[in-house]
Amino acid sequence: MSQSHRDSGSISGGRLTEFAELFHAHFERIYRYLDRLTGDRELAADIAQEAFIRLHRRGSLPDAPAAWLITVALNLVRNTRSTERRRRELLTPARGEQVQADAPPGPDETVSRAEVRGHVRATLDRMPERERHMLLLRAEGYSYRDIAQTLGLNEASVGVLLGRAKRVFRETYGDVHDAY
Amino acid sequence: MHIDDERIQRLLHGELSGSDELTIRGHLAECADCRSRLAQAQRDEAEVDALLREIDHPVPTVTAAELANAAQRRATPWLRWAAMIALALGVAGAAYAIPGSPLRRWVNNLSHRAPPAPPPPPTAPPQFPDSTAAGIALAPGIDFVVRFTNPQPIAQIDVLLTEGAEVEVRALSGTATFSAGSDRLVVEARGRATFEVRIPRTAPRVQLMVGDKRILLKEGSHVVTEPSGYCRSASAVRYVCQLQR
Repeated sequence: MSQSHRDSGSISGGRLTEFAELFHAHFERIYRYLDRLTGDRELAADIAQEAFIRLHRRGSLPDAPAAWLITVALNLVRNTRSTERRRRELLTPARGEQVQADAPPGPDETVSRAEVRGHVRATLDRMPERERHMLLLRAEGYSYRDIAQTLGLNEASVGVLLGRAKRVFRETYGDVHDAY
Repeated sequence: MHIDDERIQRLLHGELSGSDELTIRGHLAECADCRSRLAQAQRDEAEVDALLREIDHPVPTVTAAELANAAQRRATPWLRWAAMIALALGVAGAAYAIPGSPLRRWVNNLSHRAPPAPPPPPTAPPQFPDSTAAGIALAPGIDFVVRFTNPQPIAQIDVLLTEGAEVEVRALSGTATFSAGSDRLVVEARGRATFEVRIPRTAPRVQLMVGDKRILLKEGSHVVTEPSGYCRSASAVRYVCQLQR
């Protein structure tokens, strides 16, 4: 997969149709993956859009568009987090407040559903990074090839690793549930 | 010999080749232990998916066209200038091509003021372009609108899907004035007019409007003529829109 960018170009002609088709096929999946990964819907929306803007500006479509989009989005998440971490060290701890403000139980929501959401969030945050990405990418229906390319894995062992990721999730969820 | 975990997961996710899947389904038919492991894997998957859905938020409403426009706005300044110059030249060329256009008169006036050239050899009398030549061609971008401002004089619009790269609008009878922008073309018909509109198959999205009504939408490989009902499909690549009914 080529990661080179040609920022001076942009997609044109018949490629525009392909861009639109890629957007329809992947935007929702990438947004949901990022939303689940970060727990921050605004950040997820910004990064999903930025990934598609960069795809458009790349000037040509990559060989494996799905893996390219996920890789760009993941790099953007990492950059944002490292910038945020630096900012937190210098300024005020606003992130924790924002997470709470994002998910208050609404008037129609039961306390138990809010608890489940909190437990799922805590479970994902506690999982090893590779297992977390595998679980979330597969949940969005990405192929074993896309998952292997994105995470640098051997495609032949993606199934075993996915089974392990689900087991880690369920065990960690049980631990979190018991702890509260 | 039982099915290993890799293949249980691959079976669950449709990642087995056809022959492997046949072999494994054959084994499952005979092995209760492996059937039980597959059923457990399906339950685990469903449980994890259900829990993950609990933390989902609504997907933001954004379109491919909006993101393409945002990408183009970020284009480097020289590219923006080049695009503007190309667009200006294109619009000027199209304006010159329209019979009776002020630009054509202005250019002709300028050329008449030039020093007299040697007399040309005798030729046939000059042929003035008739109304069939009146037209304009523009690159459609990702979302393009062709709007006919006044429906009254328009009898018919023929729409053709082409292999070309530009949206072309021609007045086959009557006359028209054209005003072009980067993402739209406005057509004002004069007299009883019929038009031909050629839309590239590769154009992602082109809308045909008459006044405020959309009479045809070409999006990707689909063409939608509802709900206005003015246009009907005449063939796989031709639509006829009759406005005088």
